[in-house]
Amino acid sequence: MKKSHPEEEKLSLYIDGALSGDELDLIERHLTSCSDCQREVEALKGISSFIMKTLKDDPDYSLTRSLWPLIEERLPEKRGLSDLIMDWIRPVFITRIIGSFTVAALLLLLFSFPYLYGIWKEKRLAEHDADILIERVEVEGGPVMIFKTERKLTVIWLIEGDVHEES
Amino acid sequence: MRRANFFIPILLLIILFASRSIYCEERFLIKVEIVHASQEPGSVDPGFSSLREEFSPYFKYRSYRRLETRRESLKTGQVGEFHLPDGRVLYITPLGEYKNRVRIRATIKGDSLDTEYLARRGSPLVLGGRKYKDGVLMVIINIE
Repeated sequence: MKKSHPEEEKLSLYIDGALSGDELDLIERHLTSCSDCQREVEALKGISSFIMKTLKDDPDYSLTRSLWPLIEERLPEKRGLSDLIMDWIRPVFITRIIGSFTVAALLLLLFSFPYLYGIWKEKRLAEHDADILIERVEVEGGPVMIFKTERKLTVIWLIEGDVHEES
Repeated sequence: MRRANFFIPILLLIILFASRSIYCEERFLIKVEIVHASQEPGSVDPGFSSLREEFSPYFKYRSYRRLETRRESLKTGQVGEFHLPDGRVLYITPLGEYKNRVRIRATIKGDSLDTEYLARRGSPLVLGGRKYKDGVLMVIINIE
């Protein structure tokens, strides 16, 4: 049967006398039969007594203060929301320069689309060989006839609804 | 430096659009002829005999009289105003040119006619059909 060992944090709390009840019983029972954990407890007790002794011999904390920068260096850096966002964005844009160019290219595409579409449309119209190309005719109040004569004269003829007489 | 990366393409875009609008600042000479066609016997003014032949399969007008000829030089986007004898007003706007074709917008106030077309220089478009006196009015628009 596989033996499960208590976590290091629990062992630290045990050394500090911060455990009670079932948790304390469980650790004590385990230590009677586990030599690995006994060694771990002894090591932790050694560190603890060394720290306590150091603090006792260093009432003005001068040694602690001198050690603190070395300890701080090894502590994990605190990360803000902006760091988390950048972590998410960075793989997408790889670098800020590529990101800038991507946005600029998208803007360029967006703004130039109507212009490019206009050129494409003009080019298509230019392919026709007719002299006149009617694109749009709107008339209100009557039908309209569009035709070409035999000699290709283009005519837009308003079919009479109202009579416009000179007064 | 990073700001420059954004502004360079935008600046290029502005130059592109500006150059296009400068390029389009050309002038177009628009000729408008107002013709009265009638079934009554009468004369055919010089230059309209071919017009009569062209229209003969469709309409039985016997006289073609030129009432007015006007030329106007218009810039791209400029609106030319032409008053017709029946009180209507014709507005012509050249919208630009592409490969020898001029895009024209023609509207007639009074008919609510609004049309847009592309025309080669020297190719006339005829707008007609409204009754006038004993015949009809025709407007021939030509870009010279």
